[in-house]
Parts: sequence; C-alpha cells; structure tokens
Amino acid sequence: MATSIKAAKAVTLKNFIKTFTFLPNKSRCLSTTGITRAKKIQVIKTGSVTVVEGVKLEEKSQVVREIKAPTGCPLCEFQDSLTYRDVLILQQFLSPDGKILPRHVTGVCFTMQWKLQNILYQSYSAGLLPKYCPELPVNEDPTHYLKNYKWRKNNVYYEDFSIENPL
Amino acid sequence: MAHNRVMQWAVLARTWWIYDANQQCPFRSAYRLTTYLQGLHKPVYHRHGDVGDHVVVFNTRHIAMRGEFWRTYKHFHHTRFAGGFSRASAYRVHEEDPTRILERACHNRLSGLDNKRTLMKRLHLFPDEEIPEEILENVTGQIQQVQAIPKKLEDYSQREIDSFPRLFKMPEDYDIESYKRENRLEPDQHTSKAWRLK
Ligand SMILES: [Zn+2]
Repeated sequence: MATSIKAAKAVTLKNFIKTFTFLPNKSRCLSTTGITRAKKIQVIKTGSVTVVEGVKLEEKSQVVREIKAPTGCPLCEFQDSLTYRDVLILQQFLSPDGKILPRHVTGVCFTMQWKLQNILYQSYSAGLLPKYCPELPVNEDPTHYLKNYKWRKNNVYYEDFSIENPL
Repeated sequence: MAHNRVMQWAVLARTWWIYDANQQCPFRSAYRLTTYLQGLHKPVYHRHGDVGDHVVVFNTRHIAMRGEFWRTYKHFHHTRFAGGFSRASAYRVHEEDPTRILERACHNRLSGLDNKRTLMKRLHLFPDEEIPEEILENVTGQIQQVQAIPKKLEDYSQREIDSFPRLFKMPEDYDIESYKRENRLEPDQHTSKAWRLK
C-alpha cells in the first residue's frame, strides 16, 4: 500500500481507484480528507523502498483545563466574557496555517463555533493575531495577493460588552 | 486673610493636563477631554465662570476607530456656494491632517456653547510624541485613558503561550497536517493569471 500511493499519483484517477479495490478496508483508504486518520504522516525513502507511517506526536506538557459546562463544550462557560482581546485562548483554536479547527476536534458546540468565527475575524482585523499569509510561488506577482487598502493601516477596535472592559 | 487670597488663586488657576491618545477612540475620549476643557470636573464650575483647563493630547496619529468606521465615517463640509458640498471618509481626512478627527470630535461635543472657540484654543493636539518644551513645562497632571490597550500575540513570549492552560485536548487519531495548504512553489501555467488559485 505504501508504494502504491506514490506510484499512482502520476497515473490517471481511474487507475488510482483500482489500486485500492483489493484492499479490505476500502472506505478508509479512499477518503481524501483525514477524518480519523492517525497522527502525523511521515514518508521515508530508502532506495526503491518507500515507507509511509503515522508517527504519534509527542504531547507537550501543558495543563488541560476541566470542562465544567454540561454540554461538554470548552467555550460555553465564557460565552458572555470571551472577547477579541483574549488572544491566548483564540490562538488554541487555530491550526498553524491560521485556519479554524473543525468541531469534531475541538468539541465546540454549534453556537459557540459561530461566535468564535466572528470573534476571530475581529481580532484578526484589529491586528492582534499574526497575518497567516501563504508562501508565494516563485516569480509570482505579490500585488494579486496583498490587499493594502488605505483604511487598513490605521488602528481598529470593536465593541466589547464584557465586564473587564474599563469604559 | 492672605490665606483666602492664595486659596482663590489656586482654585481659579489654569492647570495643564496631558492625554495619550494611543489606541483610543476619538469620540469616547472627546467626552472625557471636554469635561476638563469646560472645568466640569471642578466643584466650583459654573457656566458663566471661566474655569476651564488646558489639555495637551499627543499620539493622535495612532487613534483607533470602531469596526469599519475608517471607511464609513464621513466628514461633511459646505462652502455655502452652489455646488460647494463636499465629503470625505475618515481615513482620507486622517491622511491629510492626523489631528483633524479628534479636533472635530471635541468641537462637536461642545456644540451649543457660546465660549466654544475659546475652549477649543485650549486644546493642544500633536500627531506624534514630540511636544515642544514650552508646553510640556506647564503640564502637571495626566488624564486616564478611555480604553485598555490590547496586547498582540507577538508581544507574548513562547513560554507564556505554552504555560497558558489549554481548553481542550486534541484527539489521538488526528492528523495535524491534514488541513495544510499545498505548497505551490511553481506557478500554475495552465490557467490564466486572473483565475489562478490564491
Ligand atoms: Zn458551547
């Protein structure tokens, strides 16, 4: 299986599907998005042999807070107090690319995920989160990617009804 | 009764206040600054008594406006001639004169007062941190800021980020790099430039 993935990429899609027909667990191998895929995928090449394996990542020694809400959602307790200035909390729900992690990973309920998107937009446009720009291709004109509008140079704040806001 | 005379000088003397407008809303800070300009913070305040103070504001170039207000908030002007109406959005006004928005905000706040022009002359605005020493010598007090300055993620050290408690635990069977973008080091030559993926 390990060698077939590498080889089949060059061939057409029809042959690509054929390679997996003899495997027992079809649904798992055909899934392009990693729903329950393992860990971090590592590819090692030694001559003609290629090894693809899911390496278990080392967990950082970080304190995980207990969830007290009965819904099992980590953000339900802070739905009145979460603001765009709480960067250390918001940063946990982002992938290193800057995309929002899906709900089945974080365990956030539907309504809080909807609020989280708005709050993340606020803190990004206020300049509190870093700019997650993709790496530009070689010899590509950066003017297509950067939107340097004149009004975005200035500072921005947002309405914030939390108790800690000293108005 | 020399003491009473000195007390009267001290009460009616004009004090000078300083205010840092860095990351502050101009409309909310105008609400606070105009109280000091009129002398509303003093117990001896009266409309006909001229008890207002001087206010020195610096860093007006770095004021913050709410949401989309830099684009949507407009300044209007009419020359009273036919076709003399003009308007400009806030960021365009701020480019030409970085002290203009805070000045207009205080000016509108004092609307309806007869002594508006004399009060506005006691407001000294500076776009940056450079203040002439003639003015800075007189300053004796500081006005509290309206808003707290938010801290960026870049300002935190990596140790502070790691020591902060996490809210959820990652599932074991989750591929971290599954949502990673493809690294397109070579430009796509097949599609035209306008329709390429960005
Ligand atoms: Zn929730």
